[in-house]
Amino acid sequence: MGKQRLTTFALAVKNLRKRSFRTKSLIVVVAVFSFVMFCGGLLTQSLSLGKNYMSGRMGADIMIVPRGCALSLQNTLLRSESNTFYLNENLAEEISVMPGVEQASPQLYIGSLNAACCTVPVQLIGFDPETDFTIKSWMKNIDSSKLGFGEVVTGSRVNATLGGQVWFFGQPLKVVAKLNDTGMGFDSSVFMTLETAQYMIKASQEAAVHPAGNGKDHISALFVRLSGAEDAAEAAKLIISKYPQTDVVVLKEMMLHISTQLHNIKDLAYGIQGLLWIVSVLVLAVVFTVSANERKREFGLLLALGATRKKLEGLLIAEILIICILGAICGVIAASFIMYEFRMLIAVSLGLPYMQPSIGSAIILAAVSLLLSVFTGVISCLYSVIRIGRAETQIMIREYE
Amino acid sequence: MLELKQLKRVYASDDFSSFTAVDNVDINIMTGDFVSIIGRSGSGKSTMLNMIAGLLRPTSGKILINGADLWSMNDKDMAKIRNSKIGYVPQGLSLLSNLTILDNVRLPFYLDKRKDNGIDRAKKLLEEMRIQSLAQRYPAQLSGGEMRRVAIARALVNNPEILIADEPTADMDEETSEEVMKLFGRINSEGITILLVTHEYDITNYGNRIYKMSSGKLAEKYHLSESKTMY
Repeated sequence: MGKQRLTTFALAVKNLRKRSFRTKSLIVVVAVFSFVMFCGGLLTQSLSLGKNYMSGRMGADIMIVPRGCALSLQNTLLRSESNTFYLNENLAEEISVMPGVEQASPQLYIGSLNAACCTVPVQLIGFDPETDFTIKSWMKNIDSSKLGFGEVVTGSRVNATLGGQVWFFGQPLKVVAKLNDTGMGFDSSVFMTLETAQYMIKASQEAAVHPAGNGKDHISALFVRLSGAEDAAEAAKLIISKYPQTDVVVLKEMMLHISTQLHNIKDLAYGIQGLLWIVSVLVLAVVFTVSANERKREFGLLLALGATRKKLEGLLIAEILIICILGAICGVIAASFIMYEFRMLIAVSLGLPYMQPSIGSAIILAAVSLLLSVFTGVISCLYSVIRIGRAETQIMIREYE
Repeated sequence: MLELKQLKRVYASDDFSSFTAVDNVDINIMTGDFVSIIGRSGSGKSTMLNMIAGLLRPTSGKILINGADLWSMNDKDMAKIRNSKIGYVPQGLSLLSNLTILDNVRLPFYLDKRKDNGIDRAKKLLEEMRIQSLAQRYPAQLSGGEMRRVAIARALVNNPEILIADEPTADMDEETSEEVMKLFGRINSEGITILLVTHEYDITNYGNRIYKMSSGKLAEKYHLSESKTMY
């Protein structure tokens, strides 16, 4: 023993150490609770942020794809699923001169199964820097119009170094820039000019390992921005009637669908969090009541030696606070590690726009989880504290003789 | 110093009957007295002691310590009295198992905020009890007699005016009982008032005032002058 003074904290620590199994079990209960709180909070925040980012920056009102490929486009945009499909390139010119169309920009998708740079299949996306209004809103450190032949811009989650090379279909491509986080499939895609993309299609045919098809003079999707007054749904109907070989994805409808899914996930997360909160409160309350009952003699003796009931309550609360703070810290650390390490897998599995919040927001969320865990602990031990505070000292001492 | 006025404690039973454990007891204990209360088990002596120690609320009557009514005090004031004026040696094992012997002895220091850490005072008392070598041990490593000495040391740590002991020699062999009682005698000779209850008639040889308790009523058996106190 050191020369330290006996304080409420020191006494609480000694009590917790003495009952180490009970202490560790309670820490685990609180850790699970704070883990779920933090994960749930981070997940719903990331989904909301992803959705807002996507609707705010996509720029396109409608997206035109070959008939039957609407889902593939959504999967490419949201799950970074590799897809290869083609439309006739002439469509871009025809659509761009339609009344109500402000701008139309083609994109060409080439699916790659594996690449040395990536842990998941990579989508190669060719775009036209001159007409593009989608990709450039996420570009940093480069003017997209200066993107040359054989040069690529990688998504934020593609493991490639600036100035380095990535290889697809046996061809080296120079990484000249990285995109900002998009919270979408773009994060694990590689962007290049249409000219480079056409070249990659040829390379895939020559490599014949995974032919990306005969893509000459073709595009995969046409991103269209309408003039302000134009109704996207009406424009979509018009395009489908005029070009029956196409499908049109209306961004507003897609976002509505995403919102519905997001609400379902949020409801599920809140439900699980609520249920776990109730379970945690009950488990902690039962354990604390049983434990306080077993310790009646100890509390009685402390009162007999001159402790005030307030001091005794303080001691009990100090013990629960230590347990809750330790448990919450463990839970938040574990949750942070898992949510960060597996963020890509989570995003891909959910198939929804997913954008993790900033460190500051994550810290606030961690603090909220910690406070909620502490609040849960305090609520749980209230009954025990009130009982101990009201019991007659001598009866407490004698009950366990 | 300590005065009981018409002190009464009635226990209610589950079958709506009641039992009077202490029945209108009057006693006036002066500073420096060594009072022994003897009586059979269930005679009400421990109940009376616990009311004096501020642990059990009387049904009626008063306990005056230096003129102040103990049971009319609030929790904080009563805790202060229990901590600084009364040294309490409870019946049976009363040490906290998660604390070392030294920490057990200095525990009352923590309970009423003091600037000192209480280590020197606790060590001195352990030395007086001749158990200084046990300072870093835990209660589970001690014999019954050693634990009782620790409990006495703990009761003395805040220099109380009165030391109250409930069956201090219960479950002890004759030799250890004698040692503990001599210890009480020594403490009393230093000016501390002692009040103990026991069912062992032998140990009433120690003390200047002997009371007998029977069916909740207290009767003085004999009262020796201070000079004739036997120990």
